[in-house]
Amino acid sequence: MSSELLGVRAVKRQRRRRAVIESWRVYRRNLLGMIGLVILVFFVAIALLADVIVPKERLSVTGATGEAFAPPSAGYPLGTDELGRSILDLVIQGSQISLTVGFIATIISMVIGSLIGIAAGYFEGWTGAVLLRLTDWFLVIPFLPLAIVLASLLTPSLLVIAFVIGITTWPGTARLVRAQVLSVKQRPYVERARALGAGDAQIISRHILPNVFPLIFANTVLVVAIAILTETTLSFLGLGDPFSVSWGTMLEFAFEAGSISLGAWWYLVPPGVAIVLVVLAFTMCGYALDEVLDPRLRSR
Amino acid sequence: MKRLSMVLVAGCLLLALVPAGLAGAQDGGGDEPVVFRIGSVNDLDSLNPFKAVEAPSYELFELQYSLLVGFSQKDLSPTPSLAESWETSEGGLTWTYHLNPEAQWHDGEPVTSEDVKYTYERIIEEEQGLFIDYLRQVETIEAPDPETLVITTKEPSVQMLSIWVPILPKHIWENVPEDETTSFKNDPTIGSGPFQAVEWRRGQFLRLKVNPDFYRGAPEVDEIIFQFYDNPDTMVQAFKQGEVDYIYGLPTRLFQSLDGEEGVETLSSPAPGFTELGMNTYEPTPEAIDKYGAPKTSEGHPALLDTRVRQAINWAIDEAELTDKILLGEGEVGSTLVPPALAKYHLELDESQVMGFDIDRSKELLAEAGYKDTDGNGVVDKGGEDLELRLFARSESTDTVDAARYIQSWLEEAGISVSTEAVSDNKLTDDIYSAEYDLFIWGYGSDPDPDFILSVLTCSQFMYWSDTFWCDEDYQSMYEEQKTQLDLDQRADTIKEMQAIAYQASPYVILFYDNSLEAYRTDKWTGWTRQPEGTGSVLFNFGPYTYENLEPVSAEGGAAAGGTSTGGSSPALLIVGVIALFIVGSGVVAFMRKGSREDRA
Amino acid sequence: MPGDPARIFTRLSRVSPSVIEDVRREFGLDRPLFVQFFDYIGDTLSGSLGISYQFARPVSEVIAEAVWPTVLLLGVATIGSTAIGLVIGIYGGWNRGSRTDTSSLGFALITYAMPEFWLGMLLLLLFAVTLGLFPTSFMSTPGLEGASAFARSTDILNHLFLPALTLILALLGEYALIMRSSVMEVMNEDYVLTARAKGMREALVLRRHVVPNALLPVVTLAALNIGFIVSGAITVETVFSWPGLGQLTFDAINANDYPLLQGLFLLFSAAVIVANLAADLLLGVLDPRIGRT
Repeated sequence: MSSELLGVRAVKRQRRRRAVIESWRVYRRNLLGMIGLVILVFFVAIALLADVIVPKERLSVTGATGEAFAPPSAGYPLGTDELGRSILDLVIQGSQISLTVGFIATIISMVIGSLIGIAAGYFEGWTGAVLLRLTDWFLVIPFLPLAIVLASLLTPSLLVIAFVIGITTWPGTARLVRAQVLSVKQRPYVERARALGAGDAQIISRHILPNVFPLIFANTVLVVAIAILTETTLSFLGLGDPFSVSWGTMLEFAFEAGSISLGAWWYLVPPGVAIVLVVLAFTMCGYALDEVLDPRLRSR
Repeated sequence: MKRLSMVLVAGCLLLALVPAGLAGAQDGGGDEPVVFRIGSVNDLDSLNPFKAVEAPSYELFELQYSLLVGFSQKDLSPTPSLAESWETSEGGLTWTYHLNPEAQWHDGEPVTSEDVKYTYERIIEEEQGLFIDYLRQVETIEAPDPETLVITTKEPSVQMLSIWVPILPKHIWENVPEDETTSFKNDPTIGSGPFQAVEWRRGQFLRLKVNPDFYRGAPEVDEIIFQFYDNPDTMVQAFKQGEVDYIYGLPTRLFQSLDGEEGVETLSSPAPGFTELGMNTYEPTPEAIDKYGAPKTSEGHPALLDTRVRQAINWAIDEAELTDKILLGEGEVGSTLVPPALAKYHLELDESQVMGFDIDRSKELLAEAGYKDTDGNGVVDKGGEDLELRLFARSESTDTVDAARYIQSWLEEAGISVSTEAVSDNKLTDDIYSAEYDLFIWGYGSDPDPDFILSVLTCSQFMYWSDTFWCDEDYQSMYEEQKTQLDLDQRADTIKEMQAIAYQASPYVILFYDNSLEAYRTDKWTGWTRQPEGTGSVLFNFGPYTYENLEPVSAEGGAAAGGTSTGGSSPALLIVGVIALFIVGSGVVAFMRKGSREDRA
Repeated sequence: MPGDPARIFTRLSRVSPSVIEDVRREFGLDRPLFVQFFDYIGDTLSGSLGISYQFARPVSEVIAEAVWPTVLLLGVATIGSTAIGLVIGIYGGWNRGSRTDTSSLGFALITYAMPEFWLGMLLLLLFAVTLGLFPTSFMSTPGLEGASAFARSTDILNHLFLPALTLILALLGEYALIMRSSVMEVMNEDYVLTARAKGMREALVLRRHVVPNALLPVVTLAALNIGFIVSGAITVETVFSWPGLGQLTFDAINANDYPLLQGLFLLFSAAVIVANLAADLLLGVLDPRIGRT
């Protein structure tokens, strides 16, 4: 009995591993997806190694050696900011905060979105209906103004910003997940499991979750892009934490220090380019994943 | 084919518009009014003097109303304004003012001593927060005839010639009930000053018209427009293009970038204010709680109650570096409470008294206070607890955020762990009144008289202007004493002694005295007048002198100043036209080509 | 606020507690929170949005003044971006894989990844500051009130150009992408294949069958996008000092003007709901399948 079960599990595991390998094979053929992945790996590596490449002391204002607002030179390849710190150093350190906020926000958003999506799809009756209405309501509310209202009520910090982004971006995910759950729920094996007396918890964890997971994963990648853009926007509007260096706060400081009038393009361009590259990379990976998961799209 | 011809017609029409747009409207000259334009990043907050706190509002009141006694252009000494002359009795308890008989309100009513009496009494009766401190010493006010005003004071007072209270028309304000004093819109605004506000569009502009019947003679300028900008960047651009004649409140770097611009003068002048690091020294006492309504507990770090710790913080801060890096030298290194702009009262410290920048000295003081790094983690501790302080900067001000970065880094060198946070002014105010803070960075502005800025550190200002809960008996009694010292040299000595006490105790570390930064067009206007003479700013000071002296540079200059360039050329039209033509054209071409290719196949 | 008030204020730089108390009383903030909440709901339902702290005027009045500049900016931006986006999308979908298609696809992806205010700052730096071609801020030149209608509209057009261009560039990528995939989908439909098989001219097929059907998802998207466009407007208006709702939002954030923020938020939400309804109705008209049932 038990050995038989083990066998089933092993087969299942093997089938999953094969599916993952197969997906990767398909993904690898996608040029856009691979470019995106390379960019991402590059930025994640920079973020992880930021403290090694740029020791924290180099960002300390008291240790700043450069002249303020100096254009790019050999010593400062991307010039300096208003306090004489290297823009390149700031961009590298900024990657940490920007990506961290992006990821935390995404996790919050995905957890809320998936839970509500699964619950709304799985439970019939008023639970599902109420959750669906809630989702629709949040979907209709323009999310940046909502995020602004929330963020302005709270004291700015990394977690607050991540939290605000997280709880304003989940409805899209919830919608997607719910639709998928609805279709999975009708499949014969789910009905069979139910007929065999499996409880809700068991069905959700054994059958529903594994089937919606790839979708959640693909969506996550797109939500990270949105979260990073939103962090930038909120920071630019002065709702971020000015003491932590992120690409968004850099742009805010650049704007407030008068970079436009002073023609200090080297302060405006690098953080923006970093944002564009990362968001672009996430988007490309997201599209590529979509194609992997939805074979109908492959021909395009 | 029909479609193509339509496109061509549309394109030709567009192109025909372009030259017209480029030519623009170059009207101007003639009998246009002489208009003086001010650029500002701050809007007014109200036309009502009982409500407004923003600088442009004060500037408006300076133009719109008159004070009883003004501040001279030369050195801010008392000078005739509504009152032509005044005298005081022996002992300084009775003050008699003689009003200018020519003065009249903008609606033609005469200004009488009844108006002054009414204004002052209303403030005293209603305890109007923004002005009451100027009038607390007043015992009685009488108006024996329309041109004479007699005020008696409880004690001899030096303040009776520096009351910054705009005199309001009784015939307007007596119809405003008490509970509407601060909510009254005050529009139209009737005053007695050289200009009258006629149109205020929130966030856009404020327009003032000259008062042709002004009692000192009508100014040359016919109209003043305050143009409000949302950020200094765009304001500077507008200034460079000649859209405004005067700008102020610039970030330092932008200000310095205007240096050498043709036809432009930049002026950096000491302003009577400072930016300080404040510390929570609150120790709840029954008196503080019952008498002033102070909080029952303090959430501040107890270490800050120790003078040695506060001095250690003072020693760990390099005020000169901050002035250099944050103000880029456009200001003075901070030291004592009364700003150097009030030269008579400012205490210049001896070299030996200055708590300069010395991290070792700072560590010694911390050790004396019992804070040593016993566990070797780089942070000093006492009783097994690391010394950790919160430092609040203002999210509204990047300068305080930058200053906080420096201070954090220095204090950490001295062994104090600091967590920085940027908070809104509202939140900071709340935190201060509930004593839930350790350190913060904010600023104060002083009156020409030092009384207000001295009051900030008195015990009697708990839950009012005090933001450190610092309370020192000697300081307090000397504060009361200086109010009554009619011999100004004696008063100055007392005030300097007070500053020495406050500096040693260090509830504040004054970081720097900010300069006021202005830029104005000298190619269009003459008559820019600094107050005080030779050192002060031209506008946003304590009298409408520049506005009264301004004249267009020449007849042509006047026309130019009147009708600013009207943004004549329009590259937008040209570009829109070209793009539209290109898109529509290429769309049509694509359609036709596809069609013909298909036909051929 | 940019610029340091402590440096701007030559006099009292702070609000004293008594003034704060006055303000609290004036705005009813001294009452318990839940009372305030129910008051707010009640007032909103009865059409009153409260009084703005910073303007000391009814929120509805303050908002009403700023609506038209935003409508103008967003209107131009939406029309511009949909029109150009559609042209690019149709071309790309019809000529899939061509060089124009690939480059416009790349362009669309890049603009989608751009924070629109950053794009605005770059355009401002390039066209207004460096080249001096356009004004940097506002909707019109101050002091032009008396000029001719033509001069004034030219002036507004001049001021409108950069912010509108920013939004058009920021939005058009998405429209192009949607239109492209929509066209490709429709091209595989039976009726299109049939029409082409019958030898109908390509241009005619495109015009009569492909474009009208491919437009449907774009209509929905345009409606759903109102929320996104509003977000863009907030930052772009801030960069260009455009006196609209976005600028007002920015000011309200800085002044902690909660009644105004709430009012704006309500308006934005209402706009999105109305736009969605309108899109549904429009779809009914455009799509014969929905119309018939």
